[in-house]
Amino acid sequence: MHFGNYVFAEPYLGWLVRGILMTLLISVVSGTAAALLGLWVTRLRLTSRRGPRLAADTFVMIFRNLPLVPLLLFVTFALPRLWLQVTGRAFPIWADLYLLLAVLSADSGANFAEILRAGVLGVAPQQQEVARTMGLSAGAIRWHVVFPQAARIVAPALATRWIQNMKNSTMALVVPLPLGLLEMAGQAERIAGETFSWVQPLTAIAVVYLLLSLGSGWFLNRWASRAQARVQAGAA
Amino acid sequence: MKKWPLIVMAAAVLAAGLLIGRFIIPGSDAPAAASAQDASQSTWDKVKDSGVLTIGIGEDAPPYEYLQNGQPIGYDVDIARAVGQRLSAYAGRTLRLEFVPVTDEDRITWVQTGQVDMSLAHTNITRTRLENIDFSLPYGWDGKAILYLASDGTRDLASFAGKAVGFKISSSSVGEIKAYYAARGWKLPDLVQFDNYDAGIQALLNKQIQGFTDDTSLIKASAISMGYKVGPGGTFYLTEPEYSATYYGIGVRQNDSLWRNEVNYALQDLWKDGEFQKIYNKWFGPHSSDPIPLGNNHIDAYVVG
Amino acid sequence: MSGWIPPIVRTLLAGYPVPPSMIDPSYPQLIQRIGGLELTLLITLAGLLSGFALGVILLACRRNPLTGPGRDPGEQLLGQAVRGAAIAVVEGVRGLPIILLVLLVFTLPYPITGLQLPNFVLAAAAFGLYAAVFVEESARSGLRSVDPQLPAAGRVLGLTGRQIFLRIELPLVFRTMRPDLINTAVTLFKDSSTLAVVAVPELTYTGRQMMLSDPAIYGAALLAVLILYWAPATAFSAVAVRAERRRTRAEGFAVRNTMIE
Repeated sequence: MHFGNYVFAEPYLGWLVRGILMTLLISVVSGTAAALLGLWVTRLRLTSRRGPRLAADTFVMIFRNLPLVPLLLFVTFALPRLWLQVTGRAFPIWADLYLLLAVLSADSGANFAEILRAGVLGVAPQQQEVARTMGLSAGAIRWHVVFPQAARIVAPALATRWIQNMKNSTMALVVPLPLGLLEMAGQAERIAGETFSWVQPLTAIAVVYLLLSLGSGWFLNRWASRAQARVQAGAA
Repeated sequence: MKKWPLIVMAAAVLAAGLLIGRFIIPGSDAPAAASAQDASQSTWDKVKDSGVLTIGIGEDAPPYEYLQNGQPIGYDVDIARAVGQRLSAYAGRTLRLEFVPVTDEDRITWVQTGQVDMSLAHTNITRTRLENIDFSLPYGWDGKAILYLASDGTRDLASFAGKAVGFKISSSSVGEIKAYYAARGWKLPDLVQFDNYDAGIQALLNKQIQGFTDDTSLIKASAISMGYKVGPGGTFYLTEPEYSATYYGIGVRQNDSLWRNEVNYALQDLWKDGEFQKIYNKWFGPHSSDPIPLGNNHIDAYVVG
Repeated sequence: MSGWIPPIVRTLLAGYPVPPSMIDPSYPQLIQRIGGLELTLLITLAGLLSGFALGVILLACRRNPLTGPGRDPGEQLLGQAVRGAAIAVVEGVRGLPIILLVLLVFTLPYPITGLQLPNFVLAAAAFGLYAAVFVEESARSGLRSVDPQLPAAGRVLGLTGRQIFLRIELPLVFRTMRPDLINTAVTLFKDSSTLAVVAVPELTYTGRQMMLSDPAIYGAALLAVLILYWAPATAFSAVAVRAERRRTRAEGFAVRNTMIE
């Protein structure tokens, strides 16, 4: 029995490919949601109104320090039960995927918010004054002046967090999902369950993860460097 | 220090690692070194010489094996002890029995590598598993069905087509249920994998899945241990008829006919002397918590001559 | 409900009792009996210590001690190879999700070497690797901030490269690494929860067992688990923030996380 017969043979290859697609889907969707959430939460943290600011601060404080595994275990077992007791209807198992996406988005969103806050603090306050004298509204100042510069200042950290979010997709292992919705690690577990061999599927997905993270790391590196260059140019 | 030679060097090391790995990482989880060592000597000779019989017993699966006051008890444990006694008689010396816990995931690998001489872990004999290890004659019989909530009313197997049904990883249910539904042209149930029975039964209670499938004796025992009754008046029902028959076999190393024969002789002698039936009745007889009548099941007793 | 709280908390802190038949006499009993939050803390500590040592070694390999004039080409090639290997290890571990790293460390050693290592050792190894990468990256960025006049002065005084590294650069770097080390400790503490996937009886696994075995407790057990992670992590992070504020007050804001260069 040589290496590869549990990876490159059908049906295992099909399962792994499906897993790769699911990983990409989970990463992109939760990453985008997290980015939007992070922007919104940062905006709330800058407001003068105490209620929303406190809520945003609490959100970040809670989700930054919660580990994902127990959080997912809790959410995917407690919420469906709550749903059943409150509405009397079943919480379908495929909807656990949405719970996973929500938890991943919240976790990365809180981290994005914290990173962005550091970036916002780094934007020179004179910028805001100049923009205000030009007649821009507070919202326009935030959206066109402060946030873009803040993002450029902390570009490397944002890129790191995006890749971390992609790696977090493996947390799906603790969420019960239909076989068709399993991401890479779940498919590897599925193959191991049938063939009793962990080595082959694990090594295969490890290689894929390395390619994905190194590949996207290279692209994000270039974006981050260009962003940092613009920051230097602006400061000069 | 220029950047490019460095990247090339790092990539070269990675590539070298992958290439070497391709040759030293074996196809199965059994290390190539270990299985090569024991290939020449039969397990039977090894056991006779050392006087030690290492038996892999499954984990936490009543009534086959579970812990009581820290000690393993169960059907598999009693059969293992009885077989060990017979083997001692054949060997002409008292063999020391060493029980080693094995999980559902590694029960096959441990036999492949020789870490255990035989494994009794409610292991269904399937053709896929026979690619890696050999099995003794069946020493246990069961069937597979789908557990579902009694509040759904009585359901038959066809009603689960396309519905969410859970199973435990490393169980043989997946292949069997696919074959059954495909043969009848029904849509396959939406299978969901769980890593233990309790999680699956909880999901069933949450109505996240409509059914949970595995060997009936295992599911029933799990539900009962969680405090639920299976059957009329209970929380759960089991579908009838069963969609697959299960034969439990003692796992032994691949291509070790001498050893497999001895284990089979032990089982056959247990049946001939009636000792097997006594153990069976203790765990599956009419007074047990989950009676499974022997019916036509038996251990073939070959003649000596 | 209140009658359950002491047993729940006690089991979460110490784990479920291990029956004597499951104890392997060939290595320390204490490590096999420990569970729950105690095991989590022990693994975090073991990971930090081994990670720190391994991280410094990786950094040394990366600094390529065999360069410089007067070295023959064979040694230069060896130095390059060692450096490439260190980079490969660091980038490799960085590119993997922690769950995958844990799974690989727990399943690969046996097929390759035939050695069956105890779970605690594998857990410490996995998190040692994980921490080593953080330590190496943090030390590397700290090294870059060292005033280059200092190692130059050392060379003028006749110190070898190794002496400069060990006696001048490393002590300076250790000081700048402190907040990163606290962050790494908190990350290790939280990510040790992934060991639940490989059935190591730490806090998350114990909480899950509790939840599955007694439906009446159900969510309360995992809620307690979440609090038991969140409280120490937040407290520790607050310490890190305060330490960082003290250090950066004069320089304005500095982005600490520069893992992508």
